[in-house]
Amino acid sequence: MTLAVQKLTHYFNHPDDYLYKDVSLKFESSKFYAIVGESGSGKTTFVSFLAGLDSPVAGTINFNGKDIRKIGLTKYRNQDVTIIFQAYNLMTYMSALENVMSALSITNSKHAGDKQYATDLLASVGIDGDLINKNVQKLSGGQQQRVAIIRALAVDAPVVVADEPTGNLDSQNTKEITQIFKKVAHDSKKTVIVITHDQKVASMADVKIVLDDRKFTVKKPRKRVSKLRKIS
Amino acid sequence: MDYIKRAFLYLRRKIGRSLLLTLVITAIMTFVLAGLIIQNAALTAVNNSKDSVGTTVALSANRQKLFKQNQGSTGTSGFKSTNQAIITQKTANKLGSLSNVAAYQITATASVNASSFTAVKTSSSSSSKGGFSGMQSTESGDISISGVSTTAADSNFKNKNYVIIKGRGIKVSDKNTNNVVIEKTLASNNKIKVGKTIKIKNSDGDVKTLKVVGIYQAKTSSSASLATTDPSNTIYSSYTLASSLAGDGGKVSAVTYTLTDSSKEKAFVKKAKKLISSKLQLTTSDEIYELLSSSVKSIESIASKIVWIVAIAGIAILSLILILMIRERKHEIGVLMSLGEAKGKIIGQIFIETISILIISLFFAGIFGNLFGNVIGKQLVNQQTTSTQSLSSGAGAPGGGGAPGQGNTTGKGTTQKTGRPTAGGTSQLSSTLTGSSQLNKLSTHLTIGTLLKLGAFGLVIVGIATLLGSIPILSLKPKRILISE
Repeated sequence: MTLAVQKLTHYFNHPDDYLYKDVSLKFESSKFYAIVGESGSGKTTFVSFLAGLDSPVAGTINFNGKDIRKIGLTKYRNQDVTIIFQAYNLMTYMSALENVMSALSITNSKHAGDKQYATDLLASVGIDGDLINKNVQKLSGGQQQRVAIIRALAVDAPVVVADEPTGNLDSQNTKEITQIFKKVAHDSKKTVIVITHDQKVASMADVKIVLDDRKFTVKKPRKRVSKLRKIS
Repeated sequence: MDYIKRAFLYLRRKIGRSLLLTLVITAIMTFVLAGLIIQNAALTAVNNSKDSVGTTVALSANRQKLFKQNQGSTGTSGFKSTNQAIITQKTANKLGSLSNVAAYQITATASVNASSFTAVKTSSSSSSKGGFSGMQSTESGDISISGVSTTAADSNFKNKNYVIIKGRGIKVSDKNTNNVVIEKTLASNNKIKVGKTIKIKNSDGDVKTLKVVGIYQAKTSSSASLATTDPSNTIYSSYTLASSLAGDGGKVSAVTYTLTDSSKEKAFVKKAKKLISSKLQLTTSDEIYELLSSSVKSIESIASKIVWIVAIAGIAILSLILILMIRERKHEIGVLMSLGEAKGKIIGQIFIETISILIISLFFAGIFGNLFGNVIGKQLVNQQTTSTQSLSSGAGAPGGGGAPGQGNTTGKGTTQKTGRPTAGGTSQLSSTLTGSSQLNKLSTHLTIGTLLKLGAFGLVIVGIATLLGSIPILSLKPKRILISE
């Protein structure tokens, strides 16, 4: 599985006032990517392109060599990519379990309708017992983010895109969730792309991409990454 | 959890919104149902009227012509009533022998006084006598003799407003006899039994002995209720007896011909017109039906408009509510879209939610509609009875409503001897009243058909409203909803 960004250019008002120009990046499976950058640098806009929520002014995003616009953005979001938001974006009238079950059904996952699978996944991040059937609005921020992560990871999509997933969490929760991402990338062989401004999260990634001054710079993996893998 | 399950889950978890929408849809459906009930009742009334009127042609005095003649001769020879029995039995039989006549009912009326018994006194009869004493003949008898060929062919008996409970009714064989059928109250008040004789006195003071061959029961007020006499004081006899008691020398007031085939009506009228004088007129059932059904048709038209106005207003209101609700659910829709849910399925979820609420609303609307139906039905029947009564006088005497000669106004020493029941007892009257009787029986209760119609209307209203309300979904972009930089 490969996700490739080719000559991506985007601007909001005027071509001269571009956000990025001719960006080309390649994301591979079984790797945990962290894209870091200052606020307002265009990280979220970039992730919205990767997630198929929007299209850039120019350039293409290819999934397994095919332009995602040709696949169809809805189909792409349904089958190939899954998104985690900073604001959780859970279905507020549902419980944790119902949120996960809904995602499995919508994406026609091979685990659709498998309550045990969803329950086990939620339990693996500490959402168990009464919490499973509790309305998500009654859960804490950390618990809600875990539900959102499990909802994204439960589906079959090979690409996981997360926009500031640890933005509302404390350091302990941040560490635990980052480790989950890493585990998913390596164990489930998925491509995990996390947008963050937290250097600690970025330091745990296999590949760090820095967005600075409208340019993307790929940093080489560091040794610490392999240490983390051993920990997880 | 597919979009269908999600729809039911949403309805359960967002119970407040569900109840609000149920309330709105119930209100819309109740109004539509009210309109449908009125429409249905009106259509039934029109059909019943048509059935009851049947294919008949009525022969009666041409009152308009007689009235004009009276106006011309008032100055010299006094005022003559336009309500005279001027049809000879020969003419009646001649028309009866024409082809396509299945049967004919000859009617004649007379007003007499009770001699060997006492008439039933009611408040209506006493008040009418007092109230119209200046207009009505003081010679009016307290007993009304309704002469017919057979009671079986009489509209009151046909519609079972009057039922023979003892003995028998008047038959063709009773022609030229003094056999009569009296009402149950009159019989019990005076302890008269079948086989006994009673005595009456006509306006000339002649006493006649009548033989009671049957007793009938007036279940509901009908033609007699329009007359000044109580229905209990109506005695049925052969038309020959009524005619002789009225001093009409064998002449009768009306004849109703029942035809074998409705398509032969025009041909019959054409032939019959050649056999009757200009003082007589023929009225077809179509004309009576038109008179009877015109007001009902206007109600049906209003009801139809109500249904459409409420349906259109319902679509507008529901669309607006759904647009507002969808705006509130924008975030949820954005989440679904981010998961790759098709917009069609999102709209499908909203449609299922609304349809589910519609089904619950139909149940409530059915309950309220039944209550509405009863109230509306009563109003409709009352309105129809009133309009039918006004029509009946119009039908019996075209232009006769304002004719001063109608009834038994004595004028200057009029030759009219006894008071004949006000409208002259024409067959048109009885036919029209038959329609009125049908209206009294009219059922405005909720039927399966009306409910199905309501369901279809509801489905169309909810379908269009959901589609209109869902238009904003088509332009929603998940990024704009879920991500803000």
